[in-house]
Amino acid sequence: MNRYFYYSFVMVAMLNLMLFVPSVLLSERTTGAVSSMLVAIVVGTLTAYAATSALARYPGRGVPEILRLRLPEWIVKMILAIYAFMFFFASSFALIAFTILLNRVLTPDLPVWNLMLILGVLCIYGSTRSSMTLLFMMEITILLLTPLVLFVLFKGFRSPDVAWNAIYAVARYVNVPPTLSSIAAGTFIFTGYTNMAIFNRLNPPNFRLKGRWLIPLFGSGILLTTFFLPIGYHGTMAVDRYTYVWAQTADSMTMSFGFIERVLFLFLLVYLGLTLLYTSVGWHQSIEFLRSMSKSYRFEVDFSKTPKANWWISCVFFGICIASMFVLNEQTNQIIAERWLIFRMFVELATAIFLLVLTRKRPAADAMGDSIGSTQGDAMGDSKGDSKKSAKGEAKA
Amino acid sequence: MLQAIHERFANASDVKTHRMTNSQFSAEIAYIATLVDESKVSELVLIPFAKEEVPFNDLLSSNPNFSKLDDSARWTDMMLRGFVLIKLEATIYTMDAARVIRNTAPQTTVESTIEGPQIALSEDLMDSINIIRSRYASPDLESEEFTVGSLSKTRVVLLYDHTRVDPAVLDIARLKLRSIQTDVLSASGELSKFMNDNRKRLFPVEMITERVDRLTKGMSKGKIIVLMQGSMFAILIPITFTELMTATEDRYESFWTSALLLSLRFIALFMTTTLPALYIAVISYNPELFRVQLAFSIAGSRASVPYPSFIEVFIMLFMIEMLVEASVRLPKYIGSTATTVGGLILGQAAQQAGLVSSIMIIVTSVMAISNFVIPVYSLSLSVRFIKYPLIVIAIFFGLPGVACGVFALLIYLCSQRSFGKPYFRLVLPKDWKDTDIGEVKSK
Repeated sequence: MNRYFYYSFVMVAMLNLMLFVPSVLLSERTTGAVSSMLVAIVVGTLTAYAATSALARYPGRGVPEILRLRLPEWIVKMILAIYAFMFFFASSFALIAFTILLNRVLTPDLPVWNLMLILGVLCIYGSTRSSMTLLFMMEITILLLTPLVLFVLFKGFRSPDVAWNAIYAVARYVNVPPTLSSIAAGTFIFTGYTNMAIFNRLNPPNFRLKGRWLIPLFGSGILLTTFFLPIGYHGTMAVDRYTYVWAQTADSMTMSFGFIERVLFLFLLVYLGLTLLYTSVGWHQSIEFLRSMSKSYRFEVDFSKTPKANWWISCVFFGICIASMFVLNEQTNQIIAERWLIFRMFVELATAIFLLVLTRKRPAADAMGDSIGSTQGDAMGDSKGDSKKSAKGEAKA
Repeated sequence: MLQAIHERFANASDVKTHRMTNSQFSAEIAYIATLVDESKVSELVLIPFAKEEVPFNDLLSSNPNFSKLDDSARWTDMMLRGFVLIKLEATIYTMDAARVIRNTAPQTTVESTIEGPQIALSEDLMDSINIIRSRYASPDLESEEFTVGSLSKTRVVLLYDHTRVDPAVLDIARLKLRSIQTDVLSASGELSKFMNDNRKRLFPVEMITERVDRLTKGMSKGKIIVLMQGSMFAILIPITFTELMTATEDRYESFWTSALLLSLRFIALFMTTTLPALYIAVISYNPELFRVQLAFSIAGSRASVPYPSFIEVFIMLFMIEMLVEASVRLPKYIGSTATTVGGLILGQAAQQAGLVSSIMIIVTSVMAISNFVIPVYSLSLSVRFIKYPLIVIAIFFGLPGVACGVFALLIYLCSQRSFGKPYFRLVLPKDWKDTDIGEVKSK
C-alpha cells in the first residue's frame, strides 16, 4: 500500500505555500536561502528515511501503540499531547491562512467568518470519518488535483514572462551559508511521512515501503519550483513585496484560449481542495492522538458509526479556529509561521531519531514474530498468504 | 391431514382436497388450485393412481418428483409455494407443480446495449436461475434459498461461486436476509433497501440489474447475486461506484473506445451535478471568473431577466424535472407529445418571455442530457437529487461553497461501504484474498 504514503507526501509537499514556506525562503533569498534548501533536501530526506524505516517495523500499529511498548505511561501521555497539538496547529493554521487568502482574492464582499464557517464545517465532517475513509479521500483528491497542478506548473515554466536571468542571479547566492529558518522552511516539504503516525495502523503485516528515492527527487523538485518560479515572474527584488507570492505568481499566468482566463482561479481551486484535505487529515490525526491518550482506547481503522468523541473534539477544534480568526491577520500569521516551522523541525527531528532508537532495540525474534517481511524483504513474496492468515487470526482474536 | 389443512385455510376457496381410493390404497391429496398446474397434478398423480399400472407406493418412492415431508408444520408453507401434498398410509409426500404466469422471452429494456446479450432475467425465479446457470456452467456455483415477507412469502435466492466469494460479505448478506421483517416484498429495490444498514443513504451501494452478463461477470469476480421471485431484476453485491458508472458494453469494445466513453460519463456526472450550482455562483458572486467576452455575453443574455440567478435556476429545474417525471409516468403514446410540448416551451418561449436567459436553457439541457448518460438507473436518480444541496450551498457561499459541496460529496462517497467493502475507491486489489490496507484490527 505504498501509494497511500506517497499521496500523503505529495499532499504536504504541495501544501507548503499555505504555511508561508515561500515567504520565509524568499525573504532570505540573498542571505542563505539557496544553500539552506540544499541542506534542507538532505536533512528532510534523512528524517523521512529514518521515520519511515522506524514505522515500517511495526506495521498495523500507530505511533501511540509503538510508544506504549517501551515507555512509561506518563511520558507517553505527554508526548501524545504534544503531537496532537502539533497536528492540530499545523492544519488549523493552514486552514486559517487559506481562508484569509480566499476571502481576499475570491470573495472580498463576504465576511471572512462566512467562508470559515463552510470550510470549517467541512473539515469537521472530514476529520470525524474513519482513517480508512480519509486514505481513500486522500487518494481521490490527490489524483484529481495533480493534473491541475502539473498544468499550472507547465503554464508557469513555458511562459515567456519567466526571467531565467533573475532565477540564475538568485541561484548564484548558493555560497552564502545557510540559516536556520530557511532550513526549517525547506524541510517542511519532506514531512508528508508524519501522517503515517496514525495511518501506519492501516498498513498490512507484510507492508514494505518501496521507492523511497522518490522522496528526495519529488521533494527537491517542489522545493526548487516553490522558490525559483516566483523569482522568474516577479524579478529578484519585487518578489519580496507580495504577501501571497504564489497567488500573485499564478495570477501572472494566463490561459489565453480557455473559458477561464486567469490561472489564479484554477490555483485557488486546487489549494481549496488541498487545504481541506490537509486540515481534515490533520484534525483526524490530532483526534486519534488525543483519544489514544487514554490507555483503554482501542482504535478502529474503519467504523460505520462515528464515535461521539470525534465529533466533540472536532467541534472544539473548529471553535478555536473561529476564535483565532478574530486575532490573526497576515502579519501575525507570517511571524507565527516562521517560528512554528523552526519548532516543528526540531520536534520532527527528535521524533525521527527517537523512533529509530526505540525500534532498533526491538529484538529480532520479536520483529520476526508479528510482522513478517517488514524488514526482511526477501521473505516477503512467499510469506504473503501466511501473513494474511495470521492477520485474519489476529483480527478475530 | 385434510382436516388439518381445512382448519389452516378456513376461508380459502381455492384450496382443493380429495380423498381417493383404488383397489389397493386410499390416499389424500391437497393443493391450492390457483398456484398449481392442475394438468400436471392429474398427469402425475390422479391418472397413475386410477390406472394402477404400478403400485402407487412404489411410484411415490421411486419417482424423483415426489419427496417425503416429515414436518407437519411446513404443510401450509409448501402448499403456498405451489406444492401438492399427498398422503399415503400415514406418510406425506410433496410434489412441485407450481404454475407461474410469466413473460415470455424477456428482453433487456432498462439497460439496453447494441451488441451485448439481449436476454434479460425473467420474473420467474427458476427461469432466472436457469438463464444464469446456463451462462455460468460451473459446479462451484452454489445457491441458498430464503423466504422473505410474512404475507408474500417471497422466495429469495443467493447465488455465488463458493471458490471465489468473500466469506465476510456472504455472512453479512445471509444475516441481512434472515433479519428482514416485512409483510410484503414486491421488488428488488425494496429488497436492496432492506439489506442495507442505512435506509437513508444517498447513493446505491448495490447494483440492481437485469443484465445476465453483468451478473455472471460479477459472480466470477466473487460477487453475490440476490434473486427474488416476481422481479426481473437481480441485486449484485458488493459493488464499487466505478462499476455503477460502467456499461456492460465497455467490456466488449476496444480499450480506447471504452476508456473514452467511461471518461465521458464521469465528465457528464460532474456536469450534471455542478452546472446549475456553478451558474448561480458565477453569475451572482464571481462573474470575473470567466474571460471578459464570455462574461459579457452571459450578462447580455440575462439582461431581460428581472430576478436573481437562483430563481431562474429554480424555475428551469422545476420545469425540467416535471418533464422528466411526466415522460416516465405517461404511457408511451402520450409521452412523446409531452416532451415535445415541454421542449418547445423550455427551449423557446420561456427565453423569449424573459423568464430565463438563453444561457440558462443551455445549462439546463446539458444538465438533463448528462444525467441520462449514467448507465444505472438508481444511480442516475441519486445524481438527480444531489444537485439540489449544491445549489443551496451556491446561493449562500458562492464559488468556494460549490467546491466545498463537491468535496463533501467526495468525503461522503469515500465513507460509504458496500457490504463491508470499500465503495468509492480508484484501484481495488485484484482479489479479496490479496492484502489490503486496514486489515489489522485493534485487538
